[in-house]
Amino acid sequence: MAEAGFELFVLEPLYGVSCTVVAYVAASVLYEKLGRPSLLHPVLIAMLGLGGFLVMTGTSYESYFASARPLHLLLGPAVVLLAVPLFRHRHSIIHFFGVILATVVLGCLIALTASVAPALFTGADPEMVRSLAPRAATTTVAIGISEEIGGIPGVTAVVVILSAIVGVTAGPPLMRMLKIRDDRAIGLALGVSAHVLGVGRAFQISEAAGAFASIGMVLNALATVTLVSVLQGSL
Amino acid sequence: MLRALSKILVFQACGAAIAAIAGLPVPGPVIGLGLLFVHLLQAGHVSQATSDLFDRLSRHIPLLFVPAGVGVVGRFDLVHSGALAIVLAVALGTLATLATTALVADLLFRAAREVESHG
Repeated sequence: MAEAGFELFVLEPLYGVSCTVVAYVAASVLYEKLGRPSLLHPVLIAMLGLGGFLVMTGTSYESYFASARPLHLLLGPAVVLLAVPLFRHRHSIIHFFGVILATVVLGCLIALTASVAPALFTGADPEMVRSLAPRAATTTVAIGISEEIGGIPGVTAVVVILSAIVGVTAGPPLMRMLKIRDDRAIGLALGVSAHVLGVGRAFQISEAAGAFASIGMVLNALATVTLVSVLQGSL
Repeated sequence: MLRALSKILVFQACGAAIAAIAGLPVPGPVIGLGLLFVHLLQAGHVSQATSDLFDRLSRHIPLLFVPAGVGVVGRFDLVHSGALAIVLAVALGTLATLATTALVADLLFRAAREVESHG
C-alpha cells in the first residue's frame, strides 16, 4: 500500500522537478566547496547523483522523466533566446562574415567527422552513432537533435558536457602552444568546441573573445543541425 | 517578463509548426531561433524584457540538461559497449576542433586585416 502511494507520488511533477533542482543546487554547492574542479562540473555530478538515487529508490527513468518534464520543456525557449546574443553581436558577424562562416563550417565538419568516425570504425551500435552525431552542437540544441534523429538524449548530453569540459581545460594551453594570440580566434575556437562553458571561459579572457565565442557557439549549433539533417539518412 | 516569455513561446510554436508542416528534421526551437533573429534585425533593437529574460534563463541553462542527462544511467549497456567510441569522440574530437578552428580563424583574421590595410 505504502509502495503504491510512493509510485503515485513519483509521477507528480513536484517530485521530479524538486529532485532535479535539489540535486543541481547540492552539486553546485559541492563544486564551490571543492574549489571548482573542472572535471566535477555540477551538471555532471547532478546527473550521476540523481541517476544513482533513482536506481536506489527503484524509480524507473521513464516515471522520473515524466515528472521532471516541465524543466526539460524550458529547453525550447532557451534555444529560441540564443537569437539574443546573436543579435547583440550582429555588427561583428556582418563585418567578419566570411571569416566566421568559413571557420564555423570547417569546425563543424571536423567535429562531426571526429564524433561519428570512431563509432563507425569500432562498429558501435547505430543508436550510439546517432547519440554522438549532435556532439558538435551546444547541449540545448544537441538534445533536440538527438531526440529528432533517434539517439539517446542522455548519452548525448553527457558526451557534449564532457567535450565542453575537455575544451575549456585544454583550450587555453593549446592556444599558447599553437602561438595564437588573436582573442577573436581563441573565442571562436572555444565557442565552437566547448559551447556554453567555452563562452564563459572566453569572457574571462576578454570581452572580444567572449563575443566571438557566443557567435561561434550559436552558428555552430545551426551548422550542426543543418549538416546532421542532410546526413540523417546515412547515420 | 511574461510578455517577453509569451513572445518567445509564440516564436517557438511557429518554429515547431513550420518543422511539422514542412517535414523538416530540425528541432522546432532552432527554427524559432532563426525567426526571432530575423524579427530582431527588422525591429533594429532587442527589448529590455527579452534581453533580461535571456540573461536570467541562460545562467541556469545547465539545470535544464539534467532530466535528459539522467537518461544515461539507464543506458550503461550502450555506454559500456561504445566506451572507446565515446572517449575518442570526446578527446580527439574536441582537441582537433579546437586546434583547427583557432588556426584557421587566426589565419583568416590576419588575411582580412591585410586586405583592409591594402584596400
